[in-house]
Amino acid sequence: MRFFPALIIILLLTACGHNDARRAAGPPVLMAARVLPAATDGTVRVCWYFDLAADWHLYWPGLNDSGFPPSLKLDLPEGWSARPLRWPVPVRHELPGGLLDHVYDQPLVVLEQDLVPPDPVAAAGADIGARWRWLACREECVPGDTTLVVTVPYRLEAAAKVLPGAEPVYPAPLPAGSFTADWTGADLEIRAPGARRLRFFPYEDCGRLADLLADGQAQGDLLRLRCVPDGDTLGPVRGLLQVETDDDVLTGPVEVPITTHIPDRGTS
Amino acid sequence: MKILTLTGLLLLAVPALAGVAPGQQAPGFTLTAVDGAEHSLADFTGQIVVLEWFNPDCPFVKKHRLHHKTMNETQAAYAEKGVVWLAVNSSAAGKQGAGLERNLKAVEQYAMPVPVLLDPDGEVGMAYGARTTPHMFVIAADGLVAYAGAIDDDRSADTLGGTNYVAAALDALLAGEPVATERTRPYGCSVKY
Repeated sequence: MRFFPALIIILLLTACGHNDARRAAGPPVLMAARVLPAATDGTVRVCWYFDLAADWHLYWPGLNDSGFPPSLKLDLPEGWSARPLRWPVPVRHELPGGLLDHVYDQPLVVLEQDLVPPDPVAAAGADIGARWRWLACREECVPGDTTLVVTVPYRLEAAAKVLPGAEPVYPAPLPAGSFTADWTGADLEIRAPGARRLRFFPYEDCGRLADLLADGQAQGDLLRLRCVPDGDTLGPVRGLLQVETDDDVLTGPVEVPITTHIPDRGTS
Repeated sequence: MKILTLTGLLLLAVPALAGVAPGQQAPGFTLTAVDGAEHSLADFTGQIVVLEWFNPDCPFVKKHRLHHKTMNETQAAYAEKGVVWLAVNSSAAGKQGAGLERNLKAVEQYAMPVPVLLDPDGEVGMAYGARTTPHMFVIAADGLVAYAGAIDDDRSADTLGGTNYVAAALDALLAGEPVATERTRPYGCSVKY
C-alpha cells in the first residue's frame, strides 16, 4: 500500500456504501484525503481518512500500554505551515492481562488539519503531499504506510467535508464550571455534577498514575485518579475528560498543574 | 511445565499486571524453554540477566530481531561480559505467537542464540508487568531490577533509535555505576495474555 490516488479512494469508499456495512475484507487500513477550499482567512483544511476493516483499531496519541499512533510527514509547498492535527475522541480498549490502550475502532477515522499558505489568494491548485505511517491491530498488529497527494480545489464543493457515515467527534473545551479537580492526598478527585459516567484519557506527558485501568473511568460524578509522586511533587495531570450525562457526552481537555506532595499531611 | 516462585508478591490470585519497578527484587521463576530445558532465574544468581518479552509474530519484535538484529547484536556484545539473556514468550495458547512449534521455528528464523522460555499462563509476564513485545528488564547481579522499559528510543515499527537503553544499563552495571535511565515506556505489540 504505497500510493493511493486520494480521490479514487474517496469514490471507492462512497461507492461501497461505507456507512452501511463495515469493510470485512482487504487490508486493515485504506487511506484517503480531502482538501477543502481555502477559507476567507486563507486557511486550508485537510481531512485525513482512515478506513478500518472490521475488528481493527488505530491508536490515539496518548498514554497507551502498546501500539503507536499514526504519524504524518507533510510535504508542503514553500512557505506553507501546518497547525496541529485534530484527533477524534478515542475509546478505552482493555486487553487481557490488565493492559489498556486508547484507540479508534470505528469504521472511519477522520483527522483534521489546518494548513496556512503564505498567500491566501494563491492557495488553490497547490499540491499537498503526505506520508502516513500507522500501526493497525486486532489480535495481531500490522504496520502500514502510504503516500497521498491532494490538490487544493479552486472553488467550493457541494459535498460535505466528511464522507458518508463519518461523524467524527473532536474534543472541545468543557463548559465552564462543569467539573472541578481537587487534590486529596495523592489522589486527584474530578467531579462533574450530573454526570452518570466519567472517563479520563491521559496525554502522553501526563504525570504518573497508579492504575489507569481501574481509575480511568467511573460510574457517577466522581472520578478519582491515584497519582504516583515524583519526588515531592504530583502531576501534572493532563488529558481528556469525558463527561457522560443522560443527555449528552462531552469530551474536553483537562490540565491540572504539578503540585507539591506532602505525604500524610495532604497536598496543596 | 512451569513452577513460578514468587518473591514477596501476591500474584497468582490476581490475573492482572502486578509489575516490578527498578530497585525492586526481580520475581523469581522457572520456565521451560522451547528445547525442553528448564531455566530458573535463581540459576543465574550473581549474574546480570536481561529478560526480553518476545512474540515472534509482532512487527516490533521483527524490527529488532529480524530487520535490524538489535537484540542479537546487543546480546552478543554483552554475552562476552557474562550477561545472561533470556527471551520470554507470554502469549496464551491460541494467541498470536504462541506455542512450541511456532517458537521453535522462530529460533531458527531469527537465529536466536538465547533460550526462548514459554509462559503460556502469563504468570511471569504479569509478575514483571510486561506490557509489550518487546519489553526489556535488566536485573543486576544483586537480583534487583535495574532497568525496565523499551529497548531503544524509536517507537516505530521499522526505524532504530539513537539510544539503546539496555546497552546503556548494562554498561553502567558492568562499570559499577548507577543506571542513569532506570525506566522508560516500553513500546510494541501488546503481550497476548
